[in-house]
Amino acid sequence: MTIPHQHCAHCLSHRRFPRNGLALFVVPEARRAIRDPIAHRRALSRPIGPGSLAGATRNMLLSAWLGRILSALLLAVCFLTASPAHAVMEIDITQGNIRPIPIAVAPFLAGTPQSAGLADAITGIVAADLERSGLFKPIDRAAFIERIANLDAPPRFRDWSVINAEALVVGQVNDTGGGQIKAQFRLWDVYSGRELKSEAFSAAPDQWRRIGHIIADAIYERLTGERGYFDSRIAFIEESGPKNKRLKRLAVMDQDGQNLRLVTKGENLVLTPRFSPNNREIVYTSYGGGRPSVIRVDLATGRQDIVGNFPGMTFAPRFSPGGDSIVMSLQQEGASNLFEMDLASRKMRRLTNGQAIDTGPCYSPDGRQIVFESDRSGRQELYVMNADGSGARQITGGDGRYSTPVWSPRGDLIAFTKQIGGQFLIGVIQPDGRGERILTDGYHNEGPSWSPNGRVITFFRESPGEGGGPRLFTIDLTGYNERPLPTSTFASDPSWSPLMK
Amino acid sequence: MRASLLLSIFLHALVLAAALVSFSAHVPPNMAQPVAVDILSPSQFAQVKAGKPDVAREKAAERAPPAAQPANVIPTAAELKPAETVSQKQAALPPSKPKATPPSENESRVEKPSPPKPDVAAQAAPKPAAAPAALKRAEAPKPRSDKPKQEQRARAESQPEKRPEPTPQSRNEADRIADLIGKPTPSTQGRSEFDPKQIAALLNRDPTAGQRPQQDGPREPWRKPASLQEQAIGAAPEEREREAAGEPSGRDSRIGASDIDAFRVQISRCWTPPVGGLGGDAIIVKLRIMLNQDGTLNRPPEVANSHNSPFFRPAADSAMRAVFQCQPYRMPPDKYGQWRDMLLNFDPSRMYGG
Repeated sequence: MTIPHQHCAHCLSHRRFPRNGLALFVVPEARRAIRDPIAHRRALSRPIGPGSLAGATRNMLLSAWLGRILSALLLAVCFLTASPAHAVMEIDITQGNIRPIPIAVAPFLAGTPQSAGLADAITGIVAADLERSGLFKPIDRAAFIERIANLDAPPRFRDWSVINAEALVVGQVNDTGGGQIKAQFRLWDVYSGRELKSEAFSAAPDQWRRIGHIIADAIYERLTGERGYFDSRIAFIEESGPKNKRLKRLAVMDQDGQNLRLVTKGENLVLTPRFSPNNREIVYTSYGGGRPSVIRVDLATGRQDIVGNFPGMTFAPRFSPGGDSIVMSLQQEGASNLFEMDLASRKMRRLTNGQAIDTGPCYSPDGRQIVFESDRSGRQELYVMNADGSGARQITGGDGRYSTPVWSPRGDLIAFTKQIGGQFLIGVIQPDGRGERILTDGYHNEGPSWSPNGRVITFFRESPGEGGGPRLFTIDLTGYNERPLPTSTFASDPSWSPLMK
Repeated sequence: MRASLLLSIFLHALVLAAALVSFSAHVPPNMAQPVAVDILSPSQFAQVKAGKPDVAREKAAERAPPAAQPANVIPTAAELKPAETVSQKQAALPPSKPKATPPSENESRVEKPSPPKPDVAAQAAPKPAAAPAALKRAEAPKPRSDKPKQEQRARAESQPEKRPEPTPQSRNEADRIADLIGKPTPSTQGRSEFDPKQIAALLNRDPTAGQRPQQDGPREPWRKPASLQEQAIGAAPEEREREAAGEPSGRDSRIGASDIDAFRVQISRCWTPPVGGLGGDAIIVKLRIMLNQDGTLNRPPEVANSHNSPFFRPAADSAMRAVFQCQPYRMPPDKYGQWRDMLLNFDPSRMYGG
């Protein structure tokens, strides 16, 4: 059989990056509509019933007064000769495989000899991102048969299907002069020969990592239907030095562990960094001179300001989804209660008022509810209340103590740490308290934080012993794809940023 | 008067004779074997195809075993006796069909040797509200705890020796189910089957939920959920169910259930539904496929439904990939007329216990 290729040259949509800065604007200039058979939706006709029915009826009428015997005979004849019903056979396929999609990432072409290195590096990032997600299996390029030479010519799909690639990525990196590079890619469906996506980006050469991540995001999104999450960062506490004299510094890196930057120098103990919704700030707790304070740092300028000095201990500050306020817990006389602080006016608003320890507050993505942990029932459990502090209800129960709740950016799940039987587990539960599921277990896991698309959770795992320490890990929602997130030192308290803009 | 009456009788006799001759002349040689005929409205057709039981049938099944009912289901070749054929066909006439009784145990057993895999798939209630009931059932330690409806549907595998024993493992699975079905499931099919093997596609590592060995599946990503063999076997029980629900089980010119099974297994092997929308809406993709006689695609499959979910397009792509990838399909060439044009419903919801 032959399948027509929907080939279209030079019609990639195009994004442009400013030269510098962490916050990049992405402006789609043109988007091509890909001709797609899926768009041709046709109502199904379902032919039914044998055609001989009408004839039979007519005959029966004619012979009505010939007597019962004759008509019965005729009836029998009709039944004998009727053909089986013709119908479109409908079959339910309810079982498939849960396995990564085999994808071939062909080496990106270099428009000029100077861009060869970049092309190679970007290819590597795209393949590595897809692989880490656990949803794709990049095929070893040693197996490739066709050498892609022209981005705009359709590939020889047989060469790719024979090595079991289901999708094929081809791309090109050009040095366009003026300190800009242009990267473009095409994503092909190997079996149907359709082009699934194509895009082009311009950026400063030093943004090459982000270009790779953005291309990987586009591929991920097209093939899974989920938003990507590769173009994002993770803030964490970098821990170095011996166990009794740990140096703890706030650090930020790309989600794949690259591009590490230290934000604080390590003079104070720092804890619980949290990204702001606009990705530009981090709020964290610092214990300088034994006094806890909540500090906000601007990542672009490095400027830090103290959001508040509080008489008692302060824990777990976290931005609201709008970014204009933070929610945290303050300890007063043995009790701990939740407060919201408006960042502009620095006004505090009390959300809970009791003798129990309420802490670890986190907003739902719509900002209407807050999940937190409390021992008001006698044991540490998770509660969800309205953002104004009313209507608190317990969502966990059973054995174990629950802490560090984090609402998924998708809103459908809450991740938590559960302490039970001497273990610390990471799990998820629905906001209504149903569907609790443990994703990972072990000696000590803690501090979950969601990827921007709500499909992956990063957390830290403490290893026991003298030489032990915390390390970062990621695990996806299926519970199967757990990966260490390599850092050069021990690391704890990860906070995943939103997607970069 | 008399003459005209005689003439009339004569003419009618002539017509009748002509009808007899012409009708029988049209019977193709391979039609010598009798065939069941159904006349269904599209909705009835869809219902039968979907294996949906209708109320009357269910009630009847609850009241008494259907053993002696004049089934309109075609008996297997082994059981078929010549004398049965005519009444069989009559029984299969229009009105009776949708209310058909399920086939007897023997029938489905003979046709489909029960698979090695135990199936605790419960025909559970369609609404989340009813889910807890299904759950309790699954948790009950008695081996025969399934409710009658399920029993009836899963009759084919209901031989006691084949049933899963109430071992700690199965209890553990039940717990897992408990964890999974808690979520609201906007089931578009109005039914869901809980097959622990498939539900295990989502992992729960809670050490308190039961036996560690069970849950400490391979840490390696993506290994555990479904081997090909499991997939292959996993497809079988459903087919039996569909038969039980009145789908023609196929003799002669009807395509055989085993052929459909094989086809389903073949496609399942190539299908990797995207994990997008995991646990959310069940995205069902309908693909219309046209096949050549050699089992290859005659033209690219057509997507026959639509959905405004962002997950639909990837889901449709994955279904397309599967259909492309697995050709040529091994189907009985003599029944080409029945499989040249098919509608495939790709529904991953049960893989995740959603």
